[in-house]
Amino acid sequence: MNALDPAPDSAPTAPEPASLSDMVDLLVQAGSLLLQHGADAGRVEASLEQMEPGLGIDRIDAVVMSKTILLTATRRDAHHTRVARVSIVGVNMNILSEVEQLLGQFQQGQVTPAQLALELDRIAALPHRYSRGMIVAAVGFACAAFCRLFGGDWAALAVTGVAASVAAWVRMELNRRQVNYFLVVLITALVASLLAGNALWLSETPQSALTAAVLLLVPGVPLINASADILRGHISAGLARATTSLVVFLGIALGLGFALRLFQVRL
Amino acid sequence: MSGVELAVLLVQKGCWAAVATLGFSVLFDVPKYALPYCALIGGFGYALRTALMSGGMGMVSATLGAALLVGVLATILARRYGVSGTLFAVGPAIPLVPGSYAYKAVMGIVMVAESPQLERSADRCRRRRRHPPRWRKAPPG
Repeated sequence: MNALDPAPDSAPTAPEPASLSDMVDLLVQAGSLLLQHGADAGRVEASLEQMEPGLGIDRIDAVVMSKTILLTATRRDAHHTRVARVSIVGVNMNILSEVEQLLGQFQQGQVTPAQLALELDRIAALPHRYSRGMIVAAVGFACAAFCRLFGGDWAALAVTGVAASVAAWVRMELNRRQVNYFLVVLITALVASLLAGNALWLSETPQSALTAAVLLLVPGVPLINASADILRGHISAGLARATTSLVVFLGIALGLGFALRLFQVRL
Repeated sequence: MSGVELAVLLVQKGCWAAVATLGFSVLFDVPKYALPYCALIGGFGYALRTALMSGGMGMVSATLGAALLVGVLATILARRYGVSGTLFAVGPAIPLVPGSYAYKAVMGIVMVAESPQLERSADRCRRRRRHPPRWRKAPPG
């Protein structure tokens, strides 16, 4: 296919990675980075298609599904296709905004394709901006605030904070060991609600603690992405995300339900 | 509820929602410069929903109003910083997700299997099998 590349003088904006397959690799790399860190399918497709002029490609056809990117780049009568499986890492707004700013600069011609590849490698290696301890504490505070919003007293608030922090840590450890996502949800919900059960003899409002402690598991971003995808017509990606969210809710309910049976509480 | 009481309630709820938003924004690795804006938007969004609901609006339409506010504020900020609106909208949207309602819905699905209503109708089906309906012709002889 690369033999069909036009002579350099015929291309006005001589692109640096001249071969079509290199360009497709670049596109797939950018798209995977977005999809891995919690962008919805419509956004990934839009980002990929806006790279057309900068790479000197006539046409990019991208199909983004929940864990797959199919991409064909066409230039003159040559075309190159790649199917890429993408492993979902988790929501990371920092990486998403870095990639989008980079693509914006690329579109304005401030970044060459070769620099783009280097920058994408740099962004992919970016560590999480906040330390693990800070994330654990932040999740604890967030769930404690939810407990307060549900009308819990100060004792319930403290119990919720501790339970949610421990659960957040457990979830990180399980995710690092690459346990199945449903099991992760189930075990984390179980840990959170068993610990939050201490509110039964410490607080007047144990229900608020039990409800709030599992909220760290609510799949907020997948739900938002699912509705955004379905409303923009990316039905299969949206349905996949919606189904994942439903399974996560089922895991939360089973974990919490087990603890409720054990403590004989009704919400 | 008097106007002052309502205002105090809104400020309290808004502050707690801001704390919750901040926590989730850190979990999602939102850049530091955006964290204060996220907390503010989250607080305003949740306070608006509380205000609308105490004004007699239903939960669904009140959440729609609050989500619209979150979206508009996030879009304005995203224009200014040249980033995507999701950066400012994801954290603030989390307190609007009705966690306890979702739990009740899923538990309802799980509990259907052991509801007394279901057992009663199953019994009725079994009894009907034993006594065939009258319109069925009796076997000859």
